[in-house]
Amino acid sequence: MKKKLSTGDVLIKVLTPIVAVGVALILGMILIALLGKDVGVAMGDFFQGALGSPIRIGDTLSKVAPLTFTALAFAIALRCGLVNIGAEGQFYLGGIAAGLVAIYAPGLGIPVIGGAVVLLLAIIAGFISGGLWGLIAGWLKVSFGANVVITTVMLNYIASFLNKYLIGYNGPFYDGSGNPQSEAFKVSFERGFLINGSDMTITIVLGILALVFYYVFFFKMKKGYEMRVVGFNSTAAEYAGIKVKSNALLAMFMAGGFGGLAGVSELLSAQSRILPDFSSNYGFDGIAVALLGQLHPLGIGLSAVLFAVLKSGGLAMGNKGTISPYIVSAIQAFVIILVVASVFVQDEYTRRKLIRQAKTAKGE
Amino acid sequence: MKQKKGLIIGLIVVLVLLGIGLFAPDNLKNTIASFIAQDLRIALPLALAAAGLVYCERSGILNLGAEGMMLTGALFTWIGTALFNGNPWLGILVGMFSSLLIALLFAFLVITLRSNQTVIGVAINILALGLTSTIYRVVQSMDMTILGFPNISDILAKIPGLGNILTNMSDIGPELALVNIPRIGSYLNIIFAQNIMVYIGIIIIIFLNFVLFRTDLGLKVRAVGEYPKACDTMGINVYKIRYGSVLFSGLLTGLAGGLLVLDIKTFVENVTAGKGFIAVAAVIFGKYTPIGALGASLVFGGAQAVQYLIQAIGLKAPSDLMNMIPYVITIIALAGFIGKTHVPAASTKPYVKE
Repeated sequence: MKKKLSTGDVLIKVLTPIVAVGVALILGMILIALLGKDVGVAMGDFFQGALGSPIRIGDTLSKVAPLTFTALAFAIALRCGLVNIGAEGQFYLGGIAAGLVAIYAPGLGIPVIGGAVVLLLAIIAGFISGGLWGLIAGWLKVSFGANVVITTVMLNYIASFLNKYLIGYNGPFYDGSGNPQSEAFKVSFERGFLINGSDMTITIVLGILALVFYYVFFFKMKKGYEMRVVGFNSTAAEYAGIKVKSNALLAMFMAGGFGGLAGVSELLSAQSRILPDFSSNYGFDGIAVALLGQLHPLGIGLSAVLFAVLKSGGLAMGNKGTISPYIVSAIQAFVIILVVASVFVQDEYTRRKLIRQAKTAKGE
Repeated sequence: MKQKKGLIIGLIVVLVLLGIGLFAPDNLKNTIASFIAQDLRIALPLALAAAGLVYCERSGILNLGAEGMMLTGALFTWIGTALFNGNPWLGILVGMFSSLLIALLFAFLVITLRSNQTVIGVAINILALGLTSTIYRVVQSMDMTILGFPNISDILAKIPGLGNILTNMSDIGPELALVNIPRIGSYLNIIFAQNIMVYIGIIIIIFLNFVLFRTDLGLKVRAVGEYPKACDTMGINVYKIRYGSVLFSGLLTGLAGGLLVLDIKTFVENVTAGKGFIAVAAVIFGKYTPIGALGASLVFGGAQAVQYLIQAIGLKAPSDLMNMIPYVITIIALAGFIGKTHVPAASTKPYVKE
């Protein structure tokens, strides 16, 4: 039985994210004005930086892939009822693994067919190590009941320090240059994909494929359905014979894996070696992207593009010194709060509609 | 029974420490004393935040926005202190007021609008990180003189009449009269010469423990977190108690953030670095009691103080690996102790008045 949505319902579903983004942007502008900065100049820098030229647009679009992947890291876990704040740490682990493959695998005699084999290995290594990092939080949840939010936040800090250690002065992968960094990657994704001269790479295609996989897995496959049931009501799932624990573990592994892929795509596209703090907050951006997209694959794709613009524009404002790029975090938070709070408005709308219907039925 | 167990553990700890003070060689004694002093210094802000969060959790609200509230309190304490010419007391009031506002937003969203507490908590953290870092870049160039809170010995020395008895004058300032005790004098002095807020904090926590378990108000807070419906029937305003608890936790997390800044005497982006989450973990580890949370905070504080201990002993370990320890310990504590504690029955469940 398929629930039929009235036009009013559909309208609300589509309008909510649009209104949320609009209001969040206005709040952001108010904040800029309150801090005594010129909103006009800030907006100018913002759009010039994000969309000012074809190359700029390409650079902006190069952020879509990592954002999509971190959004999936949040969305997959949430579909199974787990709030995974650990995409940041999973990003690091995926990035480190892929980076190490890109540095050391070409020297191991693996045939470098245009780097394709190495890149494929890097992707697999990134997915698995990010996945295992996510699995730790999953295991702590199902075996001990430890709150996933807290454990994933702790794992984020641990991952960040682990990365700093590995490429630090005493670390095993330090390049000896005097700066804490690894050696340069020997293989990476080819830049200038679709738009010449931009940072865009084929990873954006991988991002789209991941969205397709997400759709097929959750809406066409039995395992995905089971996972959604667990997320919706784990007690009911248990009674229906669905294995709650193994689903939670798988969800955290997949979520972590996609978080890892975000690290792979950022590191091997936009950067040339492993540096400390290479994530620039992608893990947390993904939360806003997923929630704004209402966990829907198409929605996630669109909001990833929107947030890529926000992130690019925010960085441009930061570089010009108008305002800190962290303003984007504030705008993101507004978006999340507005989207989540809108559920209340929708509930009220439905409740009032029901009351109205009941009243007319009585009147007849 | 439960309280007796805590008392016995406390007594054993005190005896062991006294034993060390009496019989250990001097250099080991001083290392251990400074470890304990560091532990107390680090643990107190955590414990205060956790004590506030105990009230919040007991009333049925999981406040994962604590990190953000702490961070906001930290920034505005820093700004407030600068505005009031370095006065820490007024500065920290500004910080607490700012985190109260964030807590009000959180309370409105999760209590009145019944939004998902976990997701809103996370959003509050992102909001606070964005706001504080943005504002910080604007005010960064302000002229900041942060003095921090006075040491207990400075305060005792100023008491008319008693000052000379309670403290001695040394060449670096007043010392506690404890120094005069043979054998363990300097050992005790290192441990007890804390800033005044450590003492005030411990008193606050003991008081909060009393209020929660021995007063009408405390009973209401606990009841609302277990059976909100029954409370409502009895004429207790569930929303009011929950709002009060969330706002109170906001005040105390802000206080904790402020203490952090006044301790290190500077603000940096994301200065709290997960301490808000560690405080939430301390609530669980401390079995949802303020004094338990203090004990848990001492464990987490110890995990951080270990770095100083290792340096003092002269061991060489990469600092990045050392920095991981508090986070690893937090995870272990969470995994080891959840399930052995009673979580308030209505935790994370929004209440709908019919």
